[in-house]
Parts: sequence; C-alpha cells; structure tokens
Amino acid sequence: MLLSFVGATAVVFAMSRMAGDPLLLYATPGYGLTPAQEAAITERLGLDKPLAVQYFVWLGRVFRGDLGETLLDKRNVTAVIGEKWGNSVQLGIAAWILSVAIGVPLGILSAVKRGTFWDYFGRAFAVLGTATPAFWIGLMLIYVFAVELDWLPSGTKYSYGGFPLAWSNIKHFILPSIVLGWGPAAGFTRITRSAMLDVLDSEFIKLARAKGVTNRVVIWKHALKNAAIPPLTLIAVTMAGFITGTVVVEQVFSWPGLGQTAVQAVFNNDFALLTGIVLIFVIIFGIANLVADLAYGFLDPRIRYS
Amino acid sequence: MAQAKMDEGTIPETEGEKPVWVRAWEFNTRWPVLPVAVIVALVIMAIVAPFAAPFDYAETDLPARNAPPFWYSEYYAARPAEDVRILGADAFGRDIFSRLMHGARISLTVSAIAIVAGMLVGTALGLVAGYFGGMTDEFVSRFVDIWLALPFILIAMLAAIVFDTSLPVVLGLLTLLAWSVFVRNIRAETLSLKTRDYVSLARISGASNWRIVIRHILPGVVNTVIVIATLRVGQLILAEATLSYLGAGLPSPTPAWGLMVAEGREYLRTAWWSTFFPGFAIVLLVMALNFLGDWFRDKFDPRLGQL
Repeated sequence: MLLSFVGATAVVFAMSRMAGDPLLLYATPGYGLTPAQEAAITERLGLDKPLAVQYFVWLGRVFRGDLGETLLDKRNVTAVIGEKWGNSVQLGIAAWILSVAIGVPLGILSAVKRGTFWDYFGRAFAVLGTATPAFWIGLMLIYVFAVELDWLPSGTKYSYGGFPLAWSNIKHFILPSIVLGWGPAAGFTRITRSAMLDVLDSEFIKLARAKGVTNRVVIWKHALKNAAIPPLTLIAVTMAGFITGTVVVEQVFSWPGLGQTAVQAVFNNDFALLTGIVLIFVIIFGIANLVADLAYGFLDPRIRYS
Repeated sequence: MAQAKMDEGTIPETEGEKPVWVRAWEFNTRWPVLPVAVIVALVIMAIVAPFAAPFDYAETDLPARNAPPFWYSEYYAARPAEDVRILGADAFGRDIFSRLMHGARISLTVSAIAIVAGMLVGTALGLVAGYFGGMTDEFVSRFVDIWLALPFILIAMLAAIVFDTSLPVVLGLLTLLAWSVFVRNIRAETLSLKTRDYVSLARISGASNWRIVIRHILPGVVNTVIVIATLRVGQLILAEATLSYLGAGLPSPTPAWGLMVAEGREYLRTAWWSTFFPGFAIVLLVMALNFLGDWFRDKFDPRLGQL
C-alpha cells in the first residue's frame, strides 16, 4: 500500500519533469522570464537540487496541500479541487447505489428463474454493459430522454435548493448515474448470477427443499446468504472504478466535478491542475483498494489464513 | 462461467418448446457464428477502405454538412444519386460510412498491436517471475502492484499533455494497460507448472533454465495466454475509444471511432447519426470480441471463469 503510493507518486513526478523544463510552465508565452523571476521559481521548486531531492521537495509540498497554481487564472490548485470534489463523490455514490440496487437483484432473478425471459434479460444486460462505451451510451440517453422526449435534464448539476432528495435535485442524477453504474452493475449481475447458481445446485438447498421449506425462504434465506460473498467483495473492489469512471461521465454530462476539470486541464495544457487531480485520484484509489482488501478478510475469514 | 453449466443442464429437457430467440442465443454461445461474421466483416471493411470507401474520409464538403442517412428521402429527393451519404455526413460534410471504414483500420490495428505487445511483455515477465521466484518475482510483482494503483485514464491524460497525442503514445499506453493481467495469470500458472514432475525430469536431464522455460513451461501456458488476449482485446478497443473521446488519444483529423463520437457530440440535436454510428460500431466490435473470448475460454480454459 505504502509502496504503491510511493511508486504512483514517483510516476506522476517523473511525468511532470518529462513535461519539459518546469520553468517554461511559468513563462508568459512570447515574453519569457526575467532572470530574477527565474531565480525565484528555481528556489521555490528546488530545481537546482538533484532529482531525488526534487521528488521529496515536491512530495513535501503535496502533503502540505501546495499543488501549485492553475495555468489560466492562477488559482490555487488545492482550492479548485476542494470546490469540485464533492460533486464527483456525490455522483459516484449515487451510481454505486444504483448499480447495486439493479445489478444484484437482476443477478438473483436471473439465477432463480433460469432459462426464462428474466435470465436472458439479465445476461443481455450484462453483455451490453461490458461492451458499451460509457460516453456513447451517455450521449444516446441524452438524445432520447433530454432532446427527443424532454423528460430529464441532460445532466449538469445546478446549485441545490430545498430538500436534498427533492425531484428537482434528483432528476439531474438519473442519467449520469445510469451511465456510470451500468458497467459495474453488469459485473454485479454476472457474479451474483453465477454465485447463486452454484449455491442453488448444492446439497443443503436440496435438503431444505426436501424438508418442505418454501421457495421464497430457500432463495432469500438459505441461498442468498451463502452466495453473498463474491458479489459483496466485488462491490467493495469496484468502488475505485467508480472514481475513474467519473472522468468520462462528467465530460459527457457537463458535470462540474473533478473529472470534467481534468479533461479541461488536458485541453488547456494545464499541467499543475491535472497533476493535482491525478494525485487525489491516486490517493482515493489507494484507500478504496485498501478498503477492498480489508473487506475481503472481513467477509470471507478463510482468506485471512491463506 | 456458470453459463456453460446452465446450457448443459437445460438444453435436453426443454429443447422443443423454447422460443426462437432463446435458441438463437444458445446457438450463438455454442457456435459463435455471428461474432465471427461481425469481426470478419469489419476486418474486410478495414482492408478495403482505401479503395472501396465511397468518399474520401478527410474531404470536407460543406454543402453536405450534417447530411442525414439515406432513408431521409425528403432530404435526398432534390439531390443526385451519387450525393447520397449512406450513413449521413458529419458537421464538415465528411461521409460517415467512409470514415467508419477507415476507423475500423485504426481500431483493429491499434488494438491488435497493443494486445500482442502487452501479451509478449506480460507473458515474458510472468514466466520469469513465476519460474525464478525470489527477488525477481518480488520486483516484478511489486511493479505490477504499483501500476495497478494508478488510475489508467488519468495517467493517459497526463501523458497526452506531456508527450502530445500521437499514435506511438496511444500504442504505448494501451500496451501498458494490457500487460498486467498477463503477468498475474501467467505467473500463477508458472508457479504450479514448475513443480510438476516433467519439469524436474527435464532439469535432472540437464536442461538449462531457459530451455525449461521456453520448451517446457511456455507451451503449458499458451492456452491461457490466448484466452486472456481475446478477452482483453475488447477492453483495449474501449480504452482507445475513450481516450480518443477525451481528446487524449489520436489527434484530430484521424477517423478514430471515439473521436468521431466526440466531434458529433455538439451536433447531437441536429445530427444524431454522427454520434450514433461510430459508437454503434464500437459496441458491435467489442461485443463480438467478448463473445468470442467467452467461447475460447469455455473451450480451452474454463478455469479462468472470473476473467
């Protein structure tokens, strides 16, 4: 975990140095820097020291929350990130809840009613979810539901007003979270379905049925409890995926979060801003993976001993 | 996957009564005719694109701006037949069908090169790490861990700023995306293969390490390599399209499918076809490859169920 973090930040740092002379990032195009400015920046970034020292200087600044300034309006990168990250987290959580709420029941239904319409519906849902590019399905949903039918807004989260769960707030979340949640939901459906099928085949289910336990109790109490571990771990593991998924989805829906800011940073060649966002994602990614690792051990005690 | 199991379990019982679409699905999972047909059709399109495409893919034609697909008969009523754009034209009047054909070239070659490169690097590292163990293994495995701790799309965007967008950069990035799965699976496979008796016998009879790895272990993991490769190609195509869409992939005049979707985005209200068709092409290709990958896995290496 720590090693991954050091490695990941080192990669980001290396790329930031490969971007060319860091001094050039601060030079006004066409004017260059005066020697006095040059000396000041060299001093501040520690550019006169060896590369390894520069890495630690840089890392130290990162930990103090000093990520530099944005290229266009010279704002503090930390402040920009602080203002945007909440929107991304909200979207990520909404999509996560939606994908669990759709993926898991569909997987159960697909396994219990195997060979029927629901089974094939679940499988088609899963196949499409893994093969469809998120940006395209997002645009198509905007075309159908926002442009043609005019039922839902095309995304963009405006400022909040009133009760947080009011329709006027929720409707902005619907299309983006469907798009962000579909891929992971497909994964949940697949894994729940196969776990349920495995369990439903086992002896203790046959015994329960032979004892005359009703179908509903067999499925929800006996089978689901034992089939829950693989989907639960996947749900924990894919948390990190939602974070990177927001990059694309926010761009499609003009969602004012970190992902959209990152895409704009690419267009503006705003290196400091993008580096800051990448670092935040690396940290969130690391934490999510750590949580997933812990969840493994917690949900399936056998893993701890292996 | 449990899919194969299910098919065995249910087919004999209810063969006669199943609706047509269920039988079609089952036929498709057993004999992937449709996926293969889709892939072959796209490959042919890609090969013949330079001389068979109806229009030049880069030629702008302002009178045909946002021209609709052929079935919009009132639009084409007053125009000569050779002006008909089968799938419409984009905002610069470039023919979408021709661009799709050229885009197929890009998608297929880029993903093929990246998967082969990732396969070679990943398999080699997996074999070395699994066979030699110790520090080598530690080093390679930690390297994979570090790489997996990086959010790929953002690193790719960073690379787009640092190195500028170009074909070699995209190829490099996709190779980086591809290699890690191979390392993990091949390493695990090698760990179990190297304890087999035939490997010990080879060593006793004086075979060198390299000979054992290449002649005795490599053939044992080839199945896995092929299965992983087919399962991952689709993902690479999606990744390439996503990068192009975000402006971090191939630079603008190229008819990459993802880029076409991005360019059509602003005209969604007036010209849905310039976003719909390129994206649909991606879905078709990726779905065909995924079906084929599933089929390969069920046939050659059913243990890889989780992939």
